[in-house]
Amino acid sequence: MKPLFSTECVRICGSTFLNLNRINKSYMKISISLTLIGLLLETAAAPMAVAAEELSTIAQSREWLNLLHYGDGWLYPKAQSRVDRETYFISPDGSTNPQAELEATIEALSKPAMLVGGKKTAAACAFPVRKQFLEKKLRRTFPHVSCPKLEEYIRDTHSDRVSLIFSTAYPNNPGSMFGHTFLKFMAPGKPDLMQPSIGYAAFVGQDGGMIYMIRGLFGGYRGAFGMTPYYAKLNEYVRSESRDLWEYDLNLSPAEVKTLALHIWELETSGGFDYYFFDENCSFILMRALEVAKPEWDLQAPRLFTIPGVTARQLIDQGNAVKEVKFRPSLRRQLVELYETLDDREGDELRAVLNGVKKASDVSSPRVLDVALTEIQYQKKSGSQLDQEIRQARSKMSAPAFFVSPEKMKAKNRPELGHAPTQLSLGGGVFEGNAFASLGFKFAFHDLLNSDLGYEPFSHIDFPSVRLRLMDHKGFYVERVGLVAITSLFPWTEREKSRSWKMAFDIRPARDLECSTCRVAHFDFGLGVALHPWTDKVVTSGLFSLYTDVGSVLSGARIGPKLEWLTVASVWDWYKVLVDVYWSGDVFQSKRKSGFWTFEAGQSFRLARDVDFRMSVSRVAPSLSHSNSSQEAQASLQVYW
Amino acid sequence: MIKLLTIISVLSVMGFTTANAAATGGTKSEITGGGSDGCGLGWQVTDKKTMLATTTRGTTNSFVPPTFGMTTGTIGCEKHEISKNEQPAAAFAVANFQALSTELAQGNGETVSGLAYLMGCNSAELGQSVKANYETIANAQSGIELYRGIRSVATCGAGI
Repeated sequence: MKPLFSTECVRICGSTFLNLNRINKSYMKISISLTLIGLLLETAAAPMAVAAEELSTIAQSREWLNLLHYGDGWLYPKAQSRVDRETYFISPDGSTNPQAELEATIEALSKPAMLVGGKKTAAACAFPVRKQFLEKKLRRTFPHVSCPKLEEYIRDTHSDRVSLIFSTAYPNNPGSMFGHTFLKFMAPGKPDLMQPSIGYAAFVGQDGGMIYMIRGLFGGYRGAFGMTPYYAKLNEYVRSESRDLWEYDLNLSPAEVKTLALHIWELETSGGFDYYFFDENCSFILMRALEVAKPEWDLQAPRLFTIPGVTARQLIDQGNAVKEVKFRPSLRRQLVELYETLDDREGDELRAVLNGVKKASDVSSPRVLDVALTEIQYQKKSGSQLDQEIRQARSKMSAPAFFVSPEKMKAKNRPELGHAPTQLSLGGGVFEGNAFASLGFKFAFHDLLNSDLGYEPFSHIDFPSVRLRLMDHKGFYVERVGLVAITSLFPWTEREKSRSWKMAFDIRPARDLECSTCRVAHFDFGLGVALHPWTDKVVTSGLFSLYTDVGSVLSGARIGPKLEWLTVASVWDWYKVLVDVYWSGDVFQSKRKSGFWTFEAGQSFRLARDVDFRMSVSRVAPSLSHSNSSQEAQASLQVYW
Repeated sequence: MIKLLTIISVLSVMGFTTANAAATGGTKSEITGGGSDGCGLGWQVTDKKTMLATTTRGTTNSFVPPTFGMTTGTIGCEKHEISKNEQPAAAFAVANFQALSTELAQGNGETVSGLAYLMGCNSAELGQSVKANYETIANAQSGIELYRGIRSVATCGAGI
């Protein structure tokens, strides 16, 4: 420490030398004392000692903002956390000020007596990931606290690997194409069925119908995590609902797996999100939690909505995010595969046993009995007299259960092979002799001409879309606006006598009228039967619908029946053909005496996962061979993202 | 014009509801597994097979447990006078009743392995010993009955 006065000055100042020396010594004593006090204060009051600059860097870091779930700036403001519970924040400004939250967290971690979080515990027990993160960033250790409930949770979720599980569509329900995602944590040496599985769901109580829809769409339900052994999920999805499960084994280190589990603890015990069906849903929350465990993954694609299947794809598109993919077929799919292993004689024997015509004990093939038992489980007739007899007979045969390898079934429908949901379309064609150019946009999702790779075959669900045309003599105009359209073609078989259905709600040109570009609001809904004529690659269906058109060009509305014959062929994975013929009647004959016919034929070529090229022709006329018709031919290129 | 719009709105709501109804088709939901017993996790978590529900499939009408932890459904097993050590195995047998009954007749399978793990058993030994005495459990009407039957004939699992 430098003396208060230099020796030179003291010499010059001469007569005051002795006095200055005394002052010098006192000053030294005081300085030393002050330094010691300063050092004590440094260790006691942490925030004051961390350089303001370092704090600010940490507060604005991606990891810290992910931990607090601040918005990504797209549809949700960057300066606001998406967590809807105050208890998630220690600082009163925590949801809008990451630095304030950082300082409050450091303080709380330093003072274990401070009770914070949703369960009013020490910060180390409520926010173990924050503790872990700050200890690393600040290169220090916070006081140790005993957290019995957290420790129990850590034991329950003990694992070194984690899989993201994705469920496919529920048969005959295109709406379920969005799927659902949840996590399976895996500990070595434990059977798969017993592994802890964590999912996020909305708690809807007994609500139904309109209330359910409104509350679900607008965040009227609380979302929460739940943990069960994996078998509970399998029972629910694979057995009860006949949905396939895809398991994506994620490339996370054991430490990252633990961080993921611990962050879910933070969110569940202190945080909370109101559940929004479209955006803050199961997969949204899981993606945010994964980002905390693995900040280098970028899973925040700006979207208005979060579709589980799409998030599964985003993960795979990270490259190296997925170690392995496993497939668990639904009971229904297992059955379809099992039936294919039976020859005609065995098939007859199976039917005889199931109808009670042949006794199970007279069957010699264990495989036939295994298929019968699977069929009974699928039909939920376990425990019946027949079931007991078959099981008794089976127990007398030494062969192990017949098993069709999921590997064989896997190739067909990997979700990540599917095209992205949002579509942009650019094309052109000829409409009633006039050339046009077209530009289209669709929010989501999948139609009958899209390649079925990665999707439920022959299913269709479309959300709002718009198509603009530029035509000679007419300039730019809105050709059509789609609101929602759904088609579910579920082939009728001896085993499963299912019906198909279809609906559409849009604004479309009324091509049968004089003014064939005039638009009407159109709504239709119909039921029918679909069949596989001779191959699984083709579906042909007959549908009966009721429709209504409303528009000024009709001076009101018209209502009528629609008889339709729709055929779709998935010739190859990359080539599809569609032919649609229908007759529309007019009950009150407001515009004509008879109805009109519509004929549409289209084909699509899948050029890449997210690019396809289509060509189609259509004709609308009072009768199929009528000379006065509205004809259209077009070709377009679609890109998806 | 307003009248027409009202008609359309009514028709579309009807349409959506019918679409929902059509989508609901298929199996009626029921509580299988242990749900009604109180021991073991029931399968049926929500009976909402409507379009929107399955669109998101992230719904449940279970209650939110007070502490966030593993739900195994062992709570209701006490009233069946099953010791604490045995409760996880019993709850498993109840929740997987159908698959387990079937796999035991075959002698192997994932539920057999799962039960073996909980009973501290070797999976093959459990499968074979129960299969050899299948008549004992063939008529079990409930998961608890099935579990008791398995315990009486299994040559392993005495430890729990």
